[in-house]
Amino acid sequence: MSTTVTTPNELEIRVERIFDAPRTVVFSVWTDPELIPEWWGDGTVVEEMDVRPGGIYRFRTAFGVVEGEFREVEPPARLVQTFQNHLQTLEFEDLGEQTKLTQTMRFETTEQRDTTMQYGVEEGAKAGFARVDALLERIAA
Amino acid sequence: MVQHTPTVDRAFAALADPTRRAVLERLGAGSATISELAGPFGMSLTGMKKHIRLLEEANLVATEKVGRARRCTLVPYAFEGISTWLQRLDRFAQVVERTKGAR
Repeated sequence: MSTTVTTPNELEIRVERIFDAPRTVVFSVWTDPELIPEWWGDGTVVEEMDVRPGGIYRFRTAFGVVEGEFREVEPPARLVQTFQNHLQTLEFEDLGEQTKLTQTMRFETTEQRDTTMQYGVEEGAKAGFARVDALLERIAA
Repeated sequence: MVQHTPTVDRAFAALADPTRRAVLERLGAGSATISELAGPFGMSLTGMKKHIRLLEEANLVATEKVGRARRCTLVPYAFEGISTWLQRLDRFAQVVERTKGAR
């Protein structure tokens, strides 16, 4: 499945992807705390996940704590949540046996947006990031 | 031509220094004030403040004034970029496949 990444304006990154599954399944994988460790990676512990407007989520992952707040919860079509330093809007579009996920990440500044776009994208930076990953693993240990 | 954003440049510059890498490792264990950090490194408060400022400008560390002290915290997912996120979506797609099969 191909993924499209665009920057529709000065503050946003938009990721679009089609999944080969009905919308209820795609939405549930995103919101079921039991499934979170399977795609967030080894050792992820879901400490809190209260999927309703104003509810908090917090995962302890290999890279550190990931947390945010659910703002809008409309299963199986739409989810708005804060994620670290930005706001994410997730739209699940029903294509029958397939589902299109449109994830819009909105940052406070263009610089923050660009930093997120840039990290790990540049070939030249990748070797550096391998070292940084190793460092972060030691920090987490 | 690879374009670096100012923050990425600053992050790599900040990581080039062994003291600052050690400070990041220390902060990985939990937040600390500048004086708590300066002590074990045998460093003056002024010296540690400079290191912290560079780490802060690179978006690696966040600081917050608590009373008269300044508390430093590691910025979680400081190196999380869009490519990391796309890899995670690949894993997400695999879980979607498995979940779909289970229903």
